[in-house]
Amino acid sequence: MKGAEIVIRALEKEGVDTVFGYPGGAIMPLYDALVDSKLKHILVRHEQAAALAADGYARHSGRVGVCFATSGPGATNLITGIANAFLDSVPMVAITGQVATPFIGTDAFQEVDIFGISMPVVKHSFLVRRIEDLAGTIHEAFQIARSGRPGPVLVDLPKDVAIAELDIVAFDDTPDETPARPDAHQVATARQMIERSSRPLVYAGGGIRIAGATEELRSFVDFTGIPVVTTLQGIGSVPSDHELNLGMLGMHGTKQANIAVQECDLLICVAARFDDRVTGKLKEFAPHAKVIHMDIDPAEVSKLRAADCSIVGDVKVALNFLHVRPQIDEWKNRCLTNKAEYAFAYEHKTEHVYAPKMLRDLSVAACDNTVISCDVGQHQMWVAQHCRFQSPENHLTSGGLGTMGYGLPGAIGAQLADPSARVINVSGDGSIMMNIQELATLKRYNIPVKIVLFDNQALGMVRQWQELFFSERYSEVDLSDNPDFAKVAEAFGIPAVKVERPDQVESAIQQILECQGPLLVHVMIDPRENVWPLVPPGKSNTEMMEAKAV
Amino acid sequence: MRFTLEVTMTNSEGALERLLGRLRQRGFGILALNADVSGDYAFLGARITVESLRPVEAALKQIAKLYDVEQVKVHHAEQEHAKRQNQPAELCLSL
Ligand SMILES: Cc1ncc(C[n+]2csc(CCOP(=O)(O)OP(=O)(O)O)c2C)c(N)n1
Ligand SMILES: [Mg+2]
Repeated sequence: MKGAEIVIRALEKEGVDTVFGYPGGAIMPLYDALVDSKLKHILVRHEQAAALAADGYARHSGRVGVCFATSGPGATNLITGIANAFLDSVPMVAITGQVATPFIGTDAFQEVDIFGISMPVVKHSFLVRRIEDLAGTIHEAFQIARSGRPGPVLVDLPKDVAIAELDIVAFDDTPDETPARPDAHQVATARQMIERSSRPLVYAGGGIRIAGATEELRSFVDFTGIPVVTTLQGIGSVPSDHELNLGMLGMHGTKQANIAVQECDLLICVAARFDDRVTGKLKEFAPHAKVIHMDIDPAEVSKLRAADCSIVGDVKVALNFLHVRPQIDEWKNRCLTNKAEYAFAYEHKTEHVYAPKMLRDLSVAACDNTVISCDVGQHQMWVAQHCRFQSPENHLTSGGLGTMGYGLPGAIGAQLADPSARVINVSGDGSIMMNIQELATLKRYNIPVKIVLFDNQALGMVRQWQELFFSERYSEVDLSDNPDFAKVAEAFGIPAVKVERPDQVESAIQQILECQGPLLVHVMIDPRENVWPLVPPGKSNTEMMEAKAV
Repeated sequence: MRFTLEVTMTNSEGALERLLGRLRQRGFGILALNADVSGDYAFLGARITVESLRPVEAALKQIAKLYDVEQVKVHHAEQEHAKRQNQPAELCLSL
């Protein structure tokens, strides 16, 4: 069997059904072997989109996403997508073609040291120099990618190894290791801390989706009655409309969430990592709270905030041991009163479409099995604040890296992982241009992703910061010469609708819900609209700026 | 703070590079390094003196996370801040 066939067979054995990629010289043997395989290959139009689509596939399905690229520029184009997966702990295997082993280190045509370049943004990487190691390496790569705290793994495959022949191939099927059981002593301490607390708060992160612990978190919350705040990645881990869900915390968090964090006496961090967008000024974050930190990765515990109790291991298991009933009626009432008082308002009396309201209405009208894949900017924060989510797998957003251009490929990945889902990409006029070429992918495979493009003629989030923190000195944020996005979509063979006034919103939402194929909805919004509330960078979460009353 | 790490890892491609890269990126300046492969080339032992404002545990946990790493120990922890300027970093690498 040829090396390339071994790779394809090993992928099939891992249960892979879809790969995203782009061919080229060094990876041609793999593309040749693909011809005889039942793997579905999606030809993207830029390798970055291959990695980001693999990411969307993985986030939504929980399975390992797979992408291919050739050596040199193909491989370097993957890097942003690999880094995106690294920062949000997404399981991914990236396979890159490499020049033949005798040419490695000679500056051969399309040779780059992708093994070296990718090192800081992969969980692990392999350069396979011997065909005998190939089958085992692919299995190992998958195990590493999906085990513990997941992440991307790169396998660099020299061309001579891909075309070499091996008579007897031993495919590896050693089972994955099961994550560590939580320590009984720490569990006992945590139970006691919860029981004795009078103002406990759950701070739920992206690890809940990764661990598949949504049900366990909900039972814990329902049993204990403890209010919850979520991170950007934790959105949906408790349903948006759950009584005890106070919403997202942090820089663009809700007022009730940030107040609860500042007042709580016990912070139960479930698979989150005290990111700076969450904590604001770290020293002043949850100043009265003891901390219980639950995470699979011991390196996260006490990394930024010292934990008083740490439960390292699978949160899916650990949460079940914490069913106690603290006496917290007063605290709960306070949280719920704040929640009612500071609820977002959607009346907006201008001639412009109000994006938060449109997103709210869209997510209410759409059924539960709706995935929203965001780009990065103001529109991303509006999705986080105003859309309703029943499960965390349905909110795909680039958190750690904040990658503009994630949304469309991410949506493509999710739609291929789950053909029956309704998948919507919410994008901005800046972000969409980062991977606009993927409209061709939508068209080619008739992928029914709906794009809702909020056009504020600006790099809105950067514009907002220049307005607020750089004395309104606007620098390179104007996009008023945007192309006609509807025409662009149509040139790719994708129907488009334009929304310019509030009275057109309802019918646009209807079209999004009813249209069978791909669709682009180009929504003009007020360029001056900002995201509120906002905790200025480096400030404490008590110092929230809010919308000026109109 | 200055301390010495003793790391045993699988001698796989890039193992030492990963170790050094991780320490640098996580804020641990390398002052001295000595590394050797085992007789059968299967393992690599490294002894690294680093200096940082960050705690020893952060280095330990970050190193332990590397897939190649079998074992990591803090060999010697010195509480005082080292006077780096007066002590030229020595580099001794034998592979
Ligand atoms: C690849 C990349 N480049 C630059 C940035 C910095 N950045 C963050 S938000 C933003 C503006 C995004 O504009 P748009 O997509 O139109 O969204 P809006 O904020 O206007 O809703 C920029 C430039 C980034 N996050 N990613
Ligand atoms: Mg914009």
